[in-house]
Amino acid sequence: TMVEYPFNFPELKPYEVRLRIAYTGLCHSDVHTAKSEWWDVKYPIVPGHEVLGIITHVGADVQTLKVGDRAGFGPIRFSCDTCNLCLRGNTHLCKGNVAPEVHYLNGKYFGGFATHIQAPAKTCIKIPESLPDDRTPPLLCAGLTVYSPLKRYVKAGDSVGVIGIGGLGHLAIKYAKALGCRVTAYTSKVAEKRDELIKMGADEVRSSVDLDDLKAGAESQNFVMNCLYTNNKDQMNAFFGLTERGGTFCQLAVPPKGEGMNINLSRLVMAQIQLVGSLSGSIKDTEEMLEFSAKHNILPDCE
Amino acid sequence: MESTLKHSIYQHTDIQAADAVAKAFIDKTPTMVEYPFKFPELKPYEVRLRILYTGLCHSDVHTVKSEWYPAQYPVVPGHEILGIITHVGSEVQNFKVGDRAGFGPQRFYCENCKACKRGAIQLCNGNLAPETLFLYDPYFGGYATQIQGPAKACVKIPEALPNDRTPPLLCAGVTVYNPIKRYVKAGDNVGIVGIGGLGHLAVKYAKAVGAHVTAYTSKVAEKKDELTKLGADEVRSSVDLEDLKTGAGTQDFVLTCVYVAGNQMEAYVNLVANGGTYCQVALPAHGEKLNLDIGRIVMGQIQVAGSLTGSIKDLDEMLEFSAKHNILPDCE
Repeated sequence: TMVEYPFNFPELKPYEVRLRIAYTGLCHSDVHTAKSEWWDVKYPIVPGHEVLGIITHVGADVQTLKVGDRAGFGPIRFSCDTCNLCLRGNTHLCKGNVAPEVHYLNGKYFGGFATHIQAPAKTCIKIPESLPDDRTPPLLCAGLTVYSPLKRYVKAGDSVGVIGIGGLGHLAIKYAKALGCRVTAYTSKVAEKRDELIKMGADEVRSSVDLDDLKAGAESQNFVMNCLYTNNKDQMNAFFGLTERGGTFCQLAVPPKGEGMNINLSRLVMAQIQLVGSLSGSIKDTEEMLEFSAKHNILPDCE
Repeated sequence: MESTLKHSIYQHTDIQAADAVAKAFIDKTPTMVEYPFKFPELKPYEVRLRILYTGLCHSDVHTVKSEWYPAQYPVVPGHEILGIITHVGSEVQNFKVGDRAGFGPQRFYCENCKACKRGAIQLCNGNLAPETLFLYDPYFGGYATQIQGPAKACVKIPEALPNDRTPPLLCAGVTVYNPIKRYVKAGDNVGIVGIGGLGHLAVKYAKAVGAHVTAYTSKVAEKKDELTKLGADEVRSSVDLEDLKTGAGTQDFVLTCVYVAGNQMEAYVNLVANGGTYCQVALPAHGEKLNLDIGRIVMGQIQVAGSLTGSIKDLDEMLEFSAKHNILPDCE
C-alpha cells in the first residue's frame, strides 16, 4: 500500500548532501523489498535506488560536490572504508561491521521515491554532462550491475552470452558490444525479439528455454551472464554448459534464499571454469560505467 | 586375447636390442613388468631424455588401475620427469644435448584452438584425442630409463633446483602454483584444505607470495607442529563441521586439494569471504556434484573455480619461483 508521506529530514551531517530528485528508476529489487519478499521490512519504507537530481545542501566536510551539481545515488549508501574489502576497492561488499540498513540506500533510510534524498556524499556520484536526466537513473543500479563484471572478466574479441534480456540483459548486450565482444542474446522469445535484439547489438539470438538448442551451444561462450534465475535445474545446468574451457559463468539475478545449484565438479576442474556471482559495484565502478556510457552513448530503453 | 606386452607405438624387444627399459603395467591389478623397448624414429620436433628421477602422482595410480577410464595396456605411467637430453630433433631450437630438462603431464597441444591462443595450453581441445594431449597412455611416460616427446612440452630446469626433489614440482607444483598466482595477493587470508602432495606445496607457495595461511587437515593434533614449520600460520580441522562453520567467511582464497563426498565440500566453499574465491584442484571421481548456494554466491560476489595443472609458461615461471624461494616438495 502506497501513501503520500510529507516528512522532515534529520539535521544534515557534515559528510552528507541533499539532492532535489529529478528522476528515480524502478528496479525489481524495489518490488521484492516493498513486498517484504526478501526480508521483513520495517514500514514505512521508501524504495528507489537509481536516483538522479540536483544538489541543494552540502555538509561542512564535503569537498567533492557543491550546490547545483547534477548527481545521483545507486544502491549503496555507506561503506566503512577500513575493512579489507573496502581497502581493495570493493566498497559495495563492505563487511566492516556496517549493518545492511546502513550500507544500502533504502530500507531504514528513505530512498528515491521522494522529492528529495539526503545521504553521505561519498556514495553520491557526479553525472557526466552528456547523459540525459530521464534515461540515466537505471544505469546507477542496472547499468552498474552488468558493467562491473564485464569490466572484470572480458576482453575485446571474447564471446559473451547474455541470458535473459530484461532490464539487466539489454544493457549487458550494449556494454559487451561496445567492449568489442561477440554477443549472443539468449531469450525466451526468439522469433518475436530477434530483430529488436540485433538492432540492440546482439550478433546472434538464441533460445534460453529450448534445452536441445542450449545443449547444441555447449562450450560456445567465453563469458556467460545469467540475468535470470529459474528453479528448473536442467535449464540452469544448460546455461552453465554454455561456458567454454577456461571461461566464466556469472550469475547476476539473485535467486530466492537457499536455492542451490548442483554443478559437475570434474568439469569445473578439467575445464578450468569459474562460476561467479556479481553484485552491483563500487562507487569507482559507477563513475567508470557512467563515463563509458556517455562515451559510447549507452542508455537503457525506458518505458 | 591379445598379449598385453604388444604395443602400438613402441617395439617390445629383448634387453640387448632395447633403447630403453620401462616399468610397464600390463593389467589393472596392477601387475608391473620390466619392459625393454625401442623408440620409434625421433621426429624433427622431438627430444629424447635420459631419465634421472620420476615423481609418482596419485593420477598415475588411478590410471594404471583403470579407475578413470580403461587404460591401454601395457601402460608406462609417470609424468613428473627430470633428466638429461640425449637426442634432439632437427627442428628443435630451444634444447641441446646435455641440457637438464623435464616433462610434466602434457605431451602436446595444437596452438590453434581458443584455449591455446589464450595461453592455457593445458586446456587444449583442438580436436586432438586425449591420447595425444597427455604425456602417457598410449605413449610411454616416466617409469622408464628414457622418454621421447615433443620439445615444446619439455621445460629447462633452473640450475639451483636439485635432481631428486624437483620432479613433483612438474605436476603437483604447477597445479597449485597456477591458481595461487592467478588468485592470491600479498596480505590475503588463504586456506589450504588437505595437506598431501598438492596441499603441502600450496602452503609453501601461498606463504612465499605473502599470504596468511591456514592449513586445514584431518589430523590437527598430529600435524600441527609439522604444518607450522612448513609455513602455516594457523592449523585447523578439515573434518570437524562445527569448527569449519565457525571459520565461515574467513578466507579470501580457499584451495581445496582433497575431494570428500558430502557436506564437507560445501563447508569448504563457505570458508570463503565476500569477494573471495574457492578453487578446486583435486579431481573427484566422474560425475561428482558440488552443491552451491547461489544466493550467497551472488550477494557475496564469490568465485567458485576449478584449476587444471598449467601451461608450459606456468611451468617455467613456477620453476623460477621455486628456485628463488627454495620451495621443494617433502619427499619420502
